[in-house]
Amino acid sequence: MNQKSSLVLVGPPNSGKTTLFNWLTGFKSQVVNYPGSTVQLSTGSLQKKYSLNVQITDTPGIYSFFSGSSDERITKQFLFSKSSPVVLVLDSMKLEIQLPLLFQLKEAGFQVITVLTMSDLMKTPLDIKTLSQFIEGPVISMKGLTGEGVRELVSEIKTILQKSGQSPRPLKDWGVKKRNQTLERCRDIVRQSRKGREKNRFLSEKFDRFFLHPRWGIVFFCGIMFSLFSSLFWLAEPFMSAVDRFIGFSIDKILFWGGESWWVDLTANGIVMSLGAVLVFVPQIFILFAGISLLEDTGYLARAVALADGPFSRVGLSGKAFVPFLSGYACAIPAVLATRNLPSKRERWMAWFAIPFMSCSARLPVYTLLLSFLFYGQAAWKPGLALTVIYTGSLVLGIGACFFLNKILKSESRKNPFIVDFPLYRSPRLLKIFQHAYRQTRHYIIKAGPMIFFFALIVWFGTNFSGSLTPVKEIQSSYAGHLGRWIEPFFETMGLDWRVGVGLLAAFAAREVFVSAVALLFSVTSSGEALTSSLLEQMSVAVNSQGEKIFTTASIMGLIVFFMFSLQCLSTTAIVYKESGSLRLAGIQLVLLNLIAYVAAVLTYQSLRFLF
Amino acid sequence: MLVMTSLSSLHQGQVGQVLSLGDQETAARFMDMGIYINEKVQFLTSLFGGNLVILSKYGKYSLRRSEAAPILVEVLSDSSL
Repeated sequence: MNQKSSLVLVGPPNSGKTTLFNWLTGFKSQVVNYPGSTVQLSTGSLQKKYSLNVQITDTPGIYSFFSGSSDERITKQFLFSKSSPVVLVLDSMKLEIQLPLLFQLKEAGFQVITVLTMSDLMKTPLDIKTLSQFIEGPVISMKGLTGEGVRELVSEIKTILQKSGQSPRPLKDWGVKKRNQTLERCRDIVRQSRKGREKNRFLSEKFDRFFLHPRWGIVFFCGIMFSLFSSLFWLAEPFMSAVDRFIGFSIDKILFWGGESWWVDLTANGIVMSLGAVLVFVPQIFILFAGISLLEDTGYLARAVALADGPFSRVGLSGKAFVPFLSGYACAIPAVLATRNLPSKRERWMAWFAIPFMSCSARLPVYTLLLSFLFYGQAAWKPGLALTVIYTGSLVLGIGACFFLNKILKSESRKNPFIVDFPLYRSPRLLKIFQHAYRQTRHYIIKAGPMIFFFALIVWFGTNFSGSLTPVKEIQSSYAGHLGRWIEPFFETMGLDWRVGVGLLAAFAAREVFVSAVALLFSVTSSGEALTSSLLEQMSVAVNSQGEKIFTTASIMGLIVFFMFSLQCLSTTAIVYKESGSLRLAGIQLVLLNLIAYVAAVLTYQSLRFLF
Repeated sequence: MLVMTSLSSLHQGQVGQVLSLGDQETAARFMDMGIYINEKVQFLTSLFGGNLVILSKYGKYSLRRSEAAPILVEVLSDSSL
């Protein structure tokens, strides 16, 4: 079999499709204990060790052929466009209600292999042979943790690919009567194939007495979220200090060993310092991703979705929007992709508009720098509390945007009922969580690194040269100085000078570039001290052309407000355009949010300047 | 005596047998998720914000109170499922 065949993985949400996909292809896709975690198609080839040339596609979860959110429609469209054989992945513990999907696939004319997952959680194993006879097709039992059953599946795949199947055709809706009849049939089949019930339901019930308690449930929810965000400081602090000291030490050594030349200055004060100013925040980003992954893996995230639904429904969203909103605290791009799981287009539009308000990981370096300046030398809980206020504020802004959009957007006539299917709790798999956080953090560094490097070169060149290849003596005469003079009037109203203005423009490439750009523009050179301390010292003495201090409480507050409202991430604009298909929406969002950010920052500065 | 009520009107711990799931489209969605006619469901709790938590044979679910209102059940007992 030299020609490449194709195969599609289908199944209800949270049934274990992605785990199987990873076993078959060797990919390391993210697997989470939350329904609807696969929001787009993933394609890979069967591992070479199986000696079979097959392309496998993992699809978003689907409950039936007759209903659907946009990700369910993606699966249906893909299935009928390909007409490939199907591997149907079903949860052993919910077999009665998931088995109708098999009969729908068969009626549509697909060739199907059924894979049963979670069977290791059953007290009494299923009689696979009996089940296979009843459904008249191959059935494989698979263990997600060990990969047991995967070889048997590959052998079935070989057999099915040798058969020629008929061309599938779309199904007419079964209606309530046929659904009930099929359920009865499925129940009979399952009754005769097993007698056991799942093992850890009792434990899940015990946990839910606390986590889904009418009053205490919300207290636990707030406590868990507060623990996650506060750990970004107390847990990350020792690691951040170590990275900070290492960067300062490296710059010192480069300057000491390299002597005085332009390339030494470029390496130390351009590249290493710019990258270092961002790398210092990597521990916080790792902890954020690990925390979100922990919530998913234990099964708590589905409970959080149900708890969030009450407040979210008041602004026209459902609790399902909580997952994209939470992801938005890490990065807006996966958050925008996660909106595919939302049931209506109206809700997705609202979420696309609100997600950029969430304080993503790229804003964290900026806020940390500004708060460190504002609370310099004060107790550590003060900047921590201020950051919690900023993070909560970003959620309030996002919800506020939805409240506003809910008033002006036309409501949809038909809505699917909102139901959350709670998975059983399970012990967190620490290695998986670590691997996930590591992959996401590495992705962040790989994504942000080249951008920071590129802009560090531009900013360094812009601050060191003007017209000739001889470095300028004063930064004011450089290219950046000329640009800064031109844009300075816009930023003077925010209490800032041209250097901060250039830093804000550079942040349109990536928000975190602001920190490294400010470090370069204020000529920070490390002298054995930590880099951040040097930058803070430079900021404390920086004055504008009138000799007035640039960084005051009022101007810092204005900057924080600017970053809270602004949409400076062009990648987010690109992904909103891709998902919505509307250049108008992406364009309006980009212009409007930045305009609001500017006006809000000016108002903040102008109202506070007389107080501080 | 048959006591018929809405799923959303059950008290904590009460069990009901589902008699109707509302209109055709809504019923289909509930059935896809595992809430079927003639099945028993237990009202577990009411969450902060108003959503209900119910237990059926096939799993545990959270529903909005307003969306659970059209689901009619026959009250069976106060015993657990």
